[in-house]
Amino acid sequence: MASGSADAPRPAGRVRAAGLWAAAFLLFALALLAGRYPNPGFLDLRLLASDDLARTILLSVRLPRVLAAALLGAVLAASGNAFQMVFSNPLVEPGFLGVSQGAAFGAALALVLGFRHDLAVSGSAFVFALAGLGASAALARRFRFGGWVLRLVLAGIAVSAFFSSALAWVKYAADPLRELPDIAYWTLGGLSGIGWKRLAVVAPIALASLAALRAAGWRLSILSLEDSASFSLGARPGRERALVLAAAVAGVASMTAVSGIVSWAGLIVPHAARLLVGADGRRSMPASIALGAAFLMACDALSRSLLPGELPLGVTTAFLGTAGFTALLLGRVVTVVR
Amino acid sequence: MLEYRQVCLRYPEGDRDAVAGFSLSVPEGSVRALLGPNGSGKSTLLLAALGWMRPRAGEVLLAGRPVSAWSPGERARKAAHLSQIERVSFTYEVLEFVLMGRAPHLAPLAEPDEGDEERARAALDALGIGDFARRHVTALSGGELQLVRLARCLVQEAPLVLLDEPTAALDPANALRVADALASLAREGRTVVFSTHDAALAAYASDSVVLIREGRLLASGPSAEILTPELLSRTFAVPFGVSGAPSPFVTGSSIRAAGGGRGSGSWPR
Amino acid sequence: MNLSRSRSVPVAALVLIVAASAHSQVPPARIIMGGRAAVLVADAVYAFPSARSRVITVGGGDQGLGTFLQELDPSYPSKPVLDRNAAAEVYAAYRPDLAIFKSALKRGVGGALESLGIRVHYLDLETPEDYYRDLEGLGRILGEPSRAAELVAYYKGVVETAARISAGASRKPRVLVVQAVGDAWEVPPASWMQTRIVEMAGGVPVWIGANPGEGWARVGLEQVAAWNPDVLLVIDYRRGVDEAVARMRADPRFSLLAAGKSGMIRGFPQDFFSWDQPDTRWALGLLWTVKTLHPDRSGTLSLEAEARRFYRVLYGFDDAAFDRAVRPRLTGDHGIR
Repeated sequence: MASGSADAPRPAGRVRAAGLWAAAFLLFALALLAGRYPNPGFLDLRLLASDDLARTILLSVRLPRVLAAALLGAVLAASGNAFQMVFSNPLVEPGFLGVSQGAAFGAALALVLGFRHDLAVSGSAFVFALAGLGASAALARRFRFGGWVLRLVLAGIAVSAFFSSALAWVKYAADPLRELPDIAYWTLGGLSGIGWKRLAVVAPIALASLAALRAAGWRLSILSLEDSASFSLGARPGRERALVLAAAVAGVASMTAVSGIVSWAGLIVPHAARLLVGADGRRSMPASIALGAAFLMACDALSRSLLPGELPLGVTTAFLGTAGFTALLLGRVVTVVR
Repeated sequence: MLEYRQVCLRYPEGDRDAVAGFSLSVPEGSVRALLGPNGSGKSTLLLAALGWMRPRAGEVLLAGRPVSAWSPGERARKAAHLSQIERVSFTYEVLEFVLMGRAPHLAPLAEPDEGDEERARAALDALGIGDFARRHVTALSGGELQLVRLARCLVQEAPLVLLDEPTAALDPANALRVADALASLAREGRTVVFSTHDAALAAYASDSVVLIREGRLLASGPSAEILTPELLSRTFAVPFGVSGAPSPFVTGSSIRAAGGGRGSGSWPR
Repeated sequence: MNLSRSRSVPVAALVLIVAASAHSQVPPARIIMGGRAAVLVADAVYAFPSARSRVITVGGGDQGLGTFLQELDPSYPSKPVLDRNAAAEVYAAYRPDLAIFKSALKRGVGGALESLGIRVHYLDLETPEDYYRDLEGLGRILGEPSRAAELVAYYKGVVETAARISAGASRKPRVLVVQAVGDAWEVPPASWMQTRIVEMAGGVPVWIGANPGEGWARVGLEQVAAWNPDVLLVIDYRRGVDEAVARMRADPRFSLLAAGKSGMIRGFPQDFFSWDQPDTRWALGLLWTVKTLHPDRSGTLSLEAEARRFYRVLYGFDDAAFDRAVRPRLTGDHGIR
């Protein structure tokens, strides 16, 4: 029978939601101040008055990078939340429908074919990320068994595996001196070189994606029901699902195009957000956005501040993400679920 | 309100019709019970009324127009459907869950407001589960979830309510509560069609009963005429007689029969 | 009878010893090279003129590799080109009597060829000491020990020149070497040739300690600013270093660094290959670095003259050949007109 946090009052959820946004803004400020100039640690604000270089670092190096990290985290978390609700499956993440592997393959292909310009590499990543989604959808339609969830998941696995092997082949064929380092750099994930110019190109798409997912928050709750239930509530499950996924993937693809593959954030942050503010899309979506931004700003700050050499962003997100998530799970009274 | 005209329904992977040559007219404000054994096509007929299944032959008319002619939003404002079981993957609060029933009345990206929330609370109160509001749906028992789902169905405020085995998982008290709720819907002028294999419920809650066997209409008419041991035995392929145990569905004690004697909104617990 | 048997054993042994030493003195007639980093191996081996005609094939179809070797051996284009990842069987099919690989391949294709009974020689070629040792080894194997001595003397001379120039400097400049990768920068490990070059040129490599690994490690602009080196040497193996340097100079974030303000952001020169790598051209890399770090003390050092000398000593290029083949390919801040 039922047990657990049955009648937790709603204000607690609201307080937590506000707390998440406060944490995000606080982390924004901290991340801006953290770094390795002039020494590892936090920047002394008084330095800004006297040191030109410190000002430049803050405005031209850290600010775009922290904003990019926030945007990346928000997009990954919001898309992860959307995916999990649409698939009614807490184990999916934005990249799994061939999106991540497609993006990695697209970038590697552009590099191996000799396109050095960043726009070409990012553009190729973006195109192949969407292609991964399209291929998964098309493949799922041709399966003849199972519900749509099973079909899409299987198709996603197949497409991801295909792109993954194609990527392995590209890496094998790549020139170890000229091309392979670029490819490795891209697949490990990171925001090292991000500046205002590149951010300005991808930010509009990412922001549009976030706005769409935020607006669709409540609708996602309905789509998370079984198809016959959402249909009886007047939804067009198939079409609405496709629109949501497309919006989510567009955001993920655009940010992945500049940041490389950063996993775990899209899987873990939505869970944590739901644990904190509840499962309803109206609340879990903005909470995911805030928590995702905060999380990634923290990870990026650590990646670039801890050691002289930069840690790959994917490594930091995996460590921090699993640690934080475990702590969260251990700390709560878990309701008995049938 | 709802009309089936020579409807044949077949599932995509099926080799035979689940429903064949079915015709039925359900006037506004009536309560119809579809009575039949498992796999007789009751659920299928309800899905066809919802528009979830398209007839292979014949047509299903909802408020005078073919079901498929309505846009999904309009159709959802006209007809509400409650499936037999539903799997919920997320720990929604009961109130949030019921609130989803307001979707047909909201613009695609709009969110429910306080007015919608009040309606949701009222639906919960009407079913006697007002104190469930903050509980998580995943923490409910099967019967409790059934009531919550029914509340979601009610809050949709659709003139036609289609229910697939609404009392299947419920104990006598809750089953009676549901049966009385169905009756009060009809008093408000709504049309109710529900499927069941419980003859007592059919007798208690409906105006007339439709007997279905193997996708075909066997008989249809007032419960007193239709619910005879002979017809029931033929329908269910099992001998029917007088039961040795009492039932909460005592004939003549439903509020319909009593002409609305019990006050609404305060059902005995 | 006893006497003849007891005499036949030492005779037989003598014959065997003579035969064995004679065999080892015959230089190999069919040489193959290949695998990853074949370019480094090939450039070293081709410094021995007698080897060029005896090379059957060089694996690793990298475009740049063939371009240079063609200059040294006109018959090179007609030689078969093997894939960089070709397996031992493929090499063995050419029936070589000597295979020369980078030592990293010992566990892979090198070991496989050895088990097929083919003689394999390994080169390290990572540091100056490796070069002295490996060149002497090549001299022995290829039957040109005097040539090896000549080459080693050349390199040692270059190192001494650099030491002499940098010795009297009042202050050791702080130097950062970065490779431009995408939008980011990477620094080499402490054990690599780039670090050694800076040290031999009398500079302080500021990035030591930032790279614990075995390959290039990424650093952010902030870390570069925190180091704020006096001299910033830029490498780009892909796009051409001139473009990378131009971008950096135009980037307002770099203009505030000490190196940016003093105009000390320089691109590492390249001709056929970049001069920073542990290729035979590291000598030129060292000379360029010492001239860049100590311009006032290297007045007598003409980079052009040194480049011509390098190509003359190592590869027998005369002035005309240098002007035709090398000069047009020069990029970076070499200062050679």
